[in-house]
Amino acid sequence: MESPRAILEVEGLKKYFAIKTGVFSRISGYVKAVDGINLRIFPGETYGLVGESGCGKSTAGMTILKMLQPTGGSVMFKGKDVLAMGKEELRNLRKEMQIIFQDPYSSLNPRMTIGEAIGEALEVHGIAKGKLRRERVESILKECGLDTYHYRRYPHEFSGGQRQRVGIARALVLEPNFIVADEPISALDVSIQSQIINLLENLQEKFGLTFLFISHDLSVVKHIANRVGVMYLGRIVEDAPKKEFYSSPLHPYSQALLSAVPSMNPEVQKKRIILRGDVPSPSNPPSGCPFHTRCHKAVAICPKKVPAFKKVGPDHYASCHLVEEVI
Amino acid sequence: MYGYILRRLLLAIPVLIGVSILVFAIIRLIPGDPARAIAGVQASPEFIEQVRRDLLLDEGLHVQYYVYMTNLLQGDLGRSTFTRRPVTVELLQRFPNTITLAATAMVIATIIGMSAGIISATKRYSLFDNASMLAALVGVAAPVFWLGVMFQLLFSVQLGWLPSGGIGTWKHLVLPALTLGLATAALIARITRSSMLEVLRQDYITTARSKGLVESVVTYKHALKNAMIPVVTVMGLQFGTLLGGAVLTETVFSWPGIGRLMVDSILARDYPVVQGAVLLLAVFFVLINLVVDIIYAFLDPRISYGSKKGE
Repeated sequence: MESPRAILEVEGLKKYFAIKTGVFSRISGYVKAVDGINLRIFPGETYGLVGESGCGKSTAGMTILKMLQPTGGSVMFKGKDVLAMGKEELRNLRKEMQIIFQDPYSSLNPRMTIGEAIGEALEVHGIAKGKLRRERVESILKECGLDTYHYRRYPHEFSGGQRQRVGIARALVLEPNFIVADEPISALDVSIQSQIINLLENLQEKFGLTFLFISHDLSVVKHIANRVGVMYLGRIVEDAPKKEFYSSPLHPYSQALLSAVPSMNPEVQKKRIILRGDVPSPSNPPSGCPFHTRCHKAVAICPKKVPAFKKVGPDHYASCHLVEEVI
Repeated sequence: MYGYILRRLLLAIPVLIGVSILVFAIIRLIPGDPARAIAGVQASPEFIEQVRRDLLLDEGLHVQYYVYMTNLLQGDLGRSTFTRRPVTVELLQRFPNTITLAATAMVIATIIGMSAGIISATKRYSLFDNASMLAALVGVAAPVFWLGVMFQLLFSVQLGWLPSGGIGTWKHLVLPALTLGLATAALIARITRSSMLEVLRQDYITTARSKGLVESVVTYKHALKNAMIPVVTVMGLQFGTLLGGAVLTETVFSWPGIGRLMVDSILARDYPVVQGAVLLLAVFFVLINLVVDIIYAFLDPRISYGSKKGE
């Protein structure tokens, strides 16, 4: 699997948020939102990062783009160290890495017309101005299923689905290679969700995009992703090619998540694994394997030792004491 | 837009009628006899009676109000019972002074308040943020008359830099405008800060950063413009408060504006002047609020008063 060169390589990425208490803002602890994750994404691929709310998926996305300053680890994009970049280099990098947000209502500046919002990036990077800028913006609007007359409109004149198309157009106008899509369809109506998914797939094919697709919806990820990573309390607990993940998940958490996906066929009775309790606080994670408090398979060793993130099959990784390592 | 302005102006009429009735009633509740005040302490009872009849004070309140309104609609605010000069002349002579004072105070407040608010929001929890918010708290809490006297003590008595009262050069304007403006500056700073923080949390700020914009463009072009609505609202309301606050400031600094005229007139039971002054301030207040509402439409494309798009 080492043959093609990964477009994005993340190693041991950490993002801790300090908890400050008292009058003098003493640091009393850290929320370990992202606690040492490894990712490798290849060109043209879609990597689906899944997990419950609050597991750190969005923080991971923001940190990879260096929109948040990481606490530790490394991010290599096309062989260049993103975290070591200076301001100017980082600004140039923005042309190649973009983000699509979950909430199409808060991700567009309400005071800017669509044309300004999308075209601004072109001007900042000195790519196009005036008439040329307008042409570029109109063409990307058309690519994203919008009309050229939308150029002069304000965000409040659009529906949620249209706004998300604007958000995608905005991300694509700089012709990036890599896009972090942070729950891009979770805020939309189900009928609109599939339209946006199809749009993303078409654009991926046309422009050769690579996606880091963050979602909590396993059925959507199954549709769009090539590879799936499951996050729990700031760590990736399983990482596998899509087919293998959906047919034979190895981590008990993945198994529980998949058992909760509703089936299309009401005749099929699935045995649902019900997770006990809530996600523990990331400021005070459980000892040993962070999942042991809720795991239906937990054994004596689980609370004592943190399981290694090991190779458990060809191109399949998991961190669980109960899964055998394969070399 | 023009239809909206016209509608708002028509709506102002009942407001102003209400104000006139209130002032008319309240001032007559103040103990003291204007006829005696005008005639002087040593006047004979017959003379006082004469003055009372001249001023229609022996008639019922409704008659007095009717006569007052009839004259008012003809542009006649009556005459000062004290100086015998027309109220309009008295007001117009003083009003520009008050406007100068309030406007200067507003400019000072906006400059100090907005810069402090913006820096506080972008450098949240920094030393500057904590210090300026503490100062803002003090600024909001400190009474104008106390602040005024403290400034006089420091800058006029101790340091001798600026005159302690009166009118004439720009130097006379500094202390009263500063006194009047500081509380508003504090308020604007707090509102700007919280509104900016609210906006800076939005995804479109991250979007703006992800476009590769430099931080100052993100702060001013993307964040500040969106944070302006609550700030403008407060500024509009505060301008009215400044006109009212001018009453105290003008008294402390012997500034010959509407505020001091009102204080003097109340003490002299000069009903027509007090009524006229309050009515003038009310008109101004209503107009400023209208201007603020119109500014909204320019600040935020989502607000539209026209019927063009047909809601």
